[in-house]
Amino acid sequence: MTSGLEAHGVSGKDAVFLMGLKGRAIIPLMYLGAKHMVTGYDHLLFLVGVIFFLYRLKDVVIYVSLFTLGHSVTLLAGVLGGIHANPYLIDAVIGFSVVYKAFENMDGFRRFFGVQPNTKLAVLIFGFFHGFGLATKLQDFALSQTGLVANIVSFNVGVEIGQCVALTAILIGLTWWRTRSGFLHHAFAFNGIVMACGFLLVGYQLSGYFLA
Amino acid sequence: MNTANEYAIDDGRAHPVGSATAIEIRQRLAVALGAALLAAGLILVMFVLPAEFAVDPLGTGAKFGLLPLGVVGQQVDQLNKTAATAGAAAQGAILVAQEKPFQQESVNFTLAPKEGMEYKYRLDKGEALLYSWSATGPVNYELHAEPDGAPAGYAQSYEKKSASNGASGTLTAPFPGIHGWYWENTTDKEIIVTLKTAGYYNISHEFRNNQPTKNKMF
Repeated sequence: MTSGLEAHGVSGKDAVFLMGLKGRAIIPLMYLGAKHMVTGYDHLLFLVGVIFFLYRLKDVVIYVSLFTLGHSVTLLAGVLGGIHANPYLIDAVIGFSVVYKAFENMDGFRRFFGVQPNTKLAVLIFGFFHGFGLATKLQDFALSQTGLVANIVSFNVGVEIGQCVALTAILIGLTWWRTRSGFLHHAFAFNGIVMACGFLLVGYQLSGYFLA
Repeated sequence: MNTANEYAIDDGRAHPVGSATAIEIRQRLAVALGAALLAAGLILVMFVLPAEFAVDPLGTGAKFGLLPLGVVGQQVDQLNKTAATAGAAAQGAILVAQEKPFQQESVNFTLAPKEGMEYKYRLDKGEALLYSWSATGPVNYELHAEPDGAPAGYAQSYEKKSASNGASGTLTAPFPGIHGWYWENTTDKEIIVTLKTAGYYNISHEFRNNQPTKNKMF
């Protein structure tokens, strides 16, 4: 009955709650959205990659807004429009977004291909996939039709709250790290590790797709 | 090599500068890319595949004791799948003849403040249980089952509610195993649960913390 739920991000107890839900539950869904973001290492890794070399607050706001726009569109459209995608494949693309961003931070595109693909567009497009990932997780549950729109919007708002919390923590850490003399020396290696984590996520999700 | 570690920042990325040639930088990148792929692949094959999917090509899962984690996980997935399909199939049967003797009982359980307990019947696949229970105070409960041969601690949940004073219904076992209730008294007062059942069971089990299991034969 709860097949595969645990594997896709919403823990067992929360899944039971969501399945039994009838009608609006604004605050609980906001909480679940925020919890999903703060504990979702795939989203967090991507965010770290996105703001890693953003020194001006204005840039942080622009890039994060693009990411937010991207994932909100597909979260709402995915759940409300009933668009079904395979969660493993979506999560594999999300893993790939981490690899891509780390490669970009290591300046790989310019060094290997001589061109830098539009960074803002990349964040927006990967935002679409992150939103689809969120949508597939919610779609695993037979969500009640009553209050569905209010509930999905609440979940989305919760995701943004969680993102603000996570971003604040990441920015504090990065800002402190940038003041250290070793920052630029370690930046390359750090992005290499982020990239390895991204590859691991891709491998993990593809294994799930073929083996689970 | 050292010079390749010098960076300049422009439009949000760091570029290695200094005397490192473009070729050296590309080599560094290629090495980093390869190292990242290799590290991810090794972690995946050595640890993640055995622990998550019970796939152990290098034998590292067995060596580090990760394999049981994956084996139990796969079993649980399998049980969940069969329970879902068996449950749907059981609903289709209007009449299931039964040769075992008919049983009924009415039992009282005393729940001390903050105490939880379980009471379960052994049922075969497709066997029905008619039940009705009531409590003298609000209890949290979960109607669930442990399939035969399932890993220890695995339970298939059927119904879970908080602060309930009772429930009635019919349960048709989707698989052979022990099926029944967990009741929990979260209040500071003693609560008595009265359970009435009818079916074809021949044994029940009462589980309480720090007490031996009480088995009842019918």
